[in-house]
Amino acid sequence: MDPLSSISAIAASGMRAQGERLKVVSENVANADSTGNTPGADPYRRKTLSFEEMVDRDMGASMVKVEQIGRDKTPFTLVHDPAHPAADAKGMVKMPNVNPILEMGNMREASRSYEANMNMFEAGRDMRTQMLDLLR
Amino acid sequence: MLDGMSFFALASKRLDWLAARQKVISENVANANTPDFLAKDVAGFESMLAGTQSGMATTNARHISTGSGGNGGPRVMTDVAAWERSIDGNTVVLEQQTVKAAEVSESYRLAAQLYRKGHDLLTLSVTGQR
Repeated sequence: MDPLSSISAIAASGMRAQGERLKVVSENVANADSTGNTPGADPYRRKTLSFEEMVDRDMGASMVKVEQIGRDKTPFTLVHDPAHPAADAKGMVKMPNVNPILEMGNMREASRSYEANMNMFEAGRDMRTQMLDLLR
Repeated sequence: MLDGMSFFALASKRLDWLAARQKVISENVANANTPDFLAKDVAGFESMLAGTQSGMATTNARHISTGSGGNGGPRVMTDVAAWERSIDGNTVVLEQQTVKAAEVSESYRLAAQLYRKGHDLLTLSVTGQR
């Protein structure tokens, strides 16, 4: 496959991976206050995701893919709220281990990387247009 | 003009090299957040002209490509001039890649336009009209 055509495929893989990352971030933010509903129950556990290089032999291009979506193992924070349905015997409620600042940083990085991939896509398309213009 | 290392052959080689370089840059950008990924770049255009490096030819379907699609493309290697290495071992700096991508785009435009000019010149000398 010629380099100009593979640029769009590579950029698309990057955008897909970053989009996936943004999805995980939004799940985490949406569930930042999702507690359990029985005494002592575990709340929402933060999701993590990692990227991996994926070499496409046919195309001779190294793309990117989401390797796995895991769970953050850091401990839950405890909040004293005896009236809560998930409160244990001591009146403590486990809150999700989601850190909004961290998610915000992650979100920013994902959208910047997405834009960078989009720019590469456009640069590739621009080069292709110029090549086609030579035929006119 | 049409013999030996002609103008058109030179322009085509330049376009090929730039396209290969842009592809490597887009690989870097796609892997900008992949842990332990090392930024790559292609060997200089001079070495492609000298014909000294052409990667390993893939003559069998089971051969592993050297990263440039095998036959005669520019050699791809780890970029030793990467600006920094992040804490997860990744050496892709988006700013650096953006600079390179813009550079490649402009050079591509230049080469394509030169090609066109050469063609116009040829048309002019043959037909006597633009």
